[in-house]
Amino acid sequence: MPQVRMETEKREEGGIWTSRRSFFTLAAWGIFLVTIGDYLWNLLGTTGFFFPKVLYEPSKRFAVGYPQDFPDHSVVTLKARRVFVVREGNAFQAISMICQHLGCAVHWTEEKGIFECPCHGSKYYKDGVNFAGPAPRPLYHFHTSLSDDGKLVIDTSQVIERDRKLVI
Amino acid sequence: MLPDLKEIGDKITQNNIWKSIFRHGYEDTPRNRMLQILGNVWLHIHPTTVTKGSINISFTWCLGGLTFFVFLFETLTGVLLMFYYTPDVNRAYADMLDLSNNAIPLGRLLRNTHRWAGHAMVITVCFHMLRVFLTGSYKAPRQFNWVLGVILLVLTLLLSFTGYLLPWDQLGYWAITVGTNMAGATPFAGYQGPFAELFGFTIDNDIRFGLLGGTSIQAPALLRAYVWHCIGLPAMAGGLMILHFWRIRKDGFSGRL
Amino acid sequence: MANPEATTLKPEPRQTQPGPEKIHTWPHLVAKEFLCALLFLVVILLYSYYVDAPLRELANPGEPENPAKAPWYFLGLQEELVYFDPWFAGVVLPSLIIIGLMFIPYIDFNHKGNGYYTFGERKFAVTTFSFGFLLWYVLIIMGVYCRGPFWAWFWPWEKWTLAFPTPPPLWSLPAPVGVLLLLAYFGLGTWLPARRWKDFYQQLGPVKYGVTMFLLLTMIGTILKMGLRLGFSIKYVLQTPWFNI
Repeated sequence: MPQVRMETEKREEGGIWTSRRSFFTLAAWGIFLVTIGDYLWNLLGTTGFFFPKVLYEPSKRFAVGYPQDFPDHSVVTLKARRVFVVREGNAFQAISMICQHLGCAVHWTEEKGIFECPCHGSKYYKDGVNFAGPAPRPLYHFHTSLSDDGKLVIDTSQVIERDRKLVI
Repeated sequence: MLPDLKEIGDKITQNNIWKSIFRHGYEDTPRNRMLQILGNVWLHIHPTTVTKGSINISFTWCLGGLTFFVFLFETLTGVLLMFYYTPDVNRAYADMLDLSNNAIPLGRLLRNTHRWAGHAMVITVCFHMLRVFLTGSYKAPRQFNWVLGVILLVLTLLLSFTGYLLPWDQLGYWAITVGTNMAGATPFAGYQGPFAELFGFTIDNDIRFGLLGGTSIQAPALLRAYVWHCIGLPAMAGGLMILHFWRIRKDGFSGRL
Repeated sequence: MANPEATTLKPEPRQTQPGPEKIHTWPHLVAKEFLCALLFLVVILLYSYYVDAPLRELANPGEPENPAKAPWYFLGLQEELVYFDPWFAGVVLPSLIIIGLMFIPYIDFNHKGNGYYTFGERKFAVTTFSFGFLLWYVLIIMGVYCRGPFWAWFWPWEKWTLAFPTPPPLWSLPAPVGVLLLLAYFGLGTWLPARRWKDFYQQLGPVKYGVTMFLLLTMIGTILKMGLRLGFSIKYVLQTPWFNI
C-alpha cells in the first residue's frame, strides 16, 4: 500500500512581519482580496452593473393642456402623468399622485376633499399635507410654468414648496 | 398458451446491458436495501438506516422533504411556463391570458399549479421552521443549519415576490411598487430613507434603482424580476439547499432520532 | 505502517449499546416520502383544477386597486407598515426578524429539549417563539380579512363601503418625552426581568441576555405602538429631525 508522506513545513523564525515567507503570503492575499473587492464593487456597487447609465423613461417635463381646460376650484386627476392639477381661481398647482409612504397612486376623494391612498390608508389634505395614516411627509408639489403656446407645463424633476403657485 | 413471464423477465434482466445500468438486484435482502440507498445518487442523501421513531409522521410531518419536493415541482412547472412567457411589458399580460384560457395545452393547469404550489411552499417552509423550533432540532451541533434554513426561508419569500410581478397585472404591479419602495426607504442606502443624503443617494442611484433598473417600474424592472425569479434566486436557493441537506447528514439527526 | 505506537495501542471495542431500534431507509422512509409527495401532488392538482390563480386587470400605473393588497404572506408586513415609517417597518423590522431568527441557536443556552417535542423543559423559548409565529399570522389574518377600501378596518361580515368616517388627525409625542419613554421601556424592560429571574440572567450572561431582551422587547414594542396608534392616534413615539419611530 502506498504511503502518504507527511512533511511538516519548516517554520521560519520571527513573526509575520519579519519572516519573509509569511510577509509575502500576507501581501499576496492582500492584493488578491483588494482586486476581487474592486471588481465586486464595480459589479455590484452604485455605479456598477446593476445601475444603467442611460434610462429610457417618459419625459419628466410635459404639457398638460391649456389652463382654461381645467375647471375652477377643481382637482383634476391626470392618471397617465400621475399628477393632480389643482386650480383655485387663476392659481395653479401640480401635486404628485405618488403617495409618500410607499409609492402607490393616491386617489382624490371629492366628497371628503382629501387625498387617500388605497395601499395603507394614508390621508392628505387638499394642499397635499399628510394628516392620518402612515405617510411620513406631504405629497410632492411640482414646478409648473406656461409654454410659449400658452399650455400648462409640469416639470416633475423639480419639487417646489407647497405655497408656491402658478398665477396666470 | 400464456407466455412464461418469469422467462421473459430473466431475458430482460440477465444480460450485460441491464446489469451495466442496474448494479444490484431487487430481491428484498438487507444487503439490497442498503444498496438501494448507497448505490443511488439521488437517494443516498439518506442514511441507510434510521431509527424507528424518526419515520413517525407526527415527528417531522415531512415538512422539509415536502418543501424540497415543492421546489422541484416549481422548477419543473416554471421551466415549462418559460416556453410560453415573454418578459416584455407589451406581451407578458397577453401571454398570461393565453395560458389561462388554455390557448396552450395544459396552460391553465400549469399556471395554476405553479402559483398555488408557490403559496404552498411558503406554508411548508414556515411550518418546517416551527417544527424544527418546537423539537429543538436547531441546538448544538446543528446551529448553523438553522441559519442556512433562515436564509432559505428568505429566499423562498423573495422567489414568491419576484414571481408576483411577472403577470404584469394590477396585483403584481402594486405589490412590487410597495416592495421596492420599502427598499427605497432603507436607512443610508435608499433615497427616501433616513440619512440618505449622507452618501448622496438619490432616486437614480440607490438600492431601489438597482432593483428596478430605473426610477419607476418599467420594462427593465419586469426583465430583472424575471431573471432573478428564473435564474438568480433559484440558483442561490438550490446551492444553499445542497448545503442544508449535507449538513443534516454531517451534523447528525437530533435527539431521539 | 511506520508508527510504532500504533501496535501498542489496543483497538477500542466498538460501542454496541442497544440504542433505539433501527430500520432500513429503503423501503420504510422512502416509501413514506413518496406517499407524502404523491399526496401533495394530488391536493395541488385538484385545487388548481377548481380554483384559478388570480389574474387582475392589466397593470395600470395611474390607478391602484382599492385596497391594494400584497400577497398574503407579506400582509403581516403591510399591516406593520400602517403603524411605522417604511424605513422601520419595511427594512429594519424585517431585518431584525431575520437576524433574530438566525441568533436563536446561539442565544438559547438550554441543552434540554434537543430533538423532541417538549414544553415543560423550555417554557420561555417555546412561548416566545410561538407567540411571534402567532403574531405574524394574526397580522396576516387582519390584513387578509379585515382591511377594506383605503385600508380601512372592516370586520369580515361587514360590507365594504366608501362611506367610512375619516380618521382623526394624528399627533406625535414631543421629542424629550419620546426619548424618556423609549429609554424607560428598554431600560426597565431589560433590568427588571434580570432582577426577577436572576438564574436566567446568570445563565445567559450580559451579552446574550441583552440580545434576547432587545429582540423580545422590540417584538412587544411593535404591538404596543400599534395600540398607541389605534387607541390614541399617536403617529410617532420618538421624533427626531432625521427619523421617526
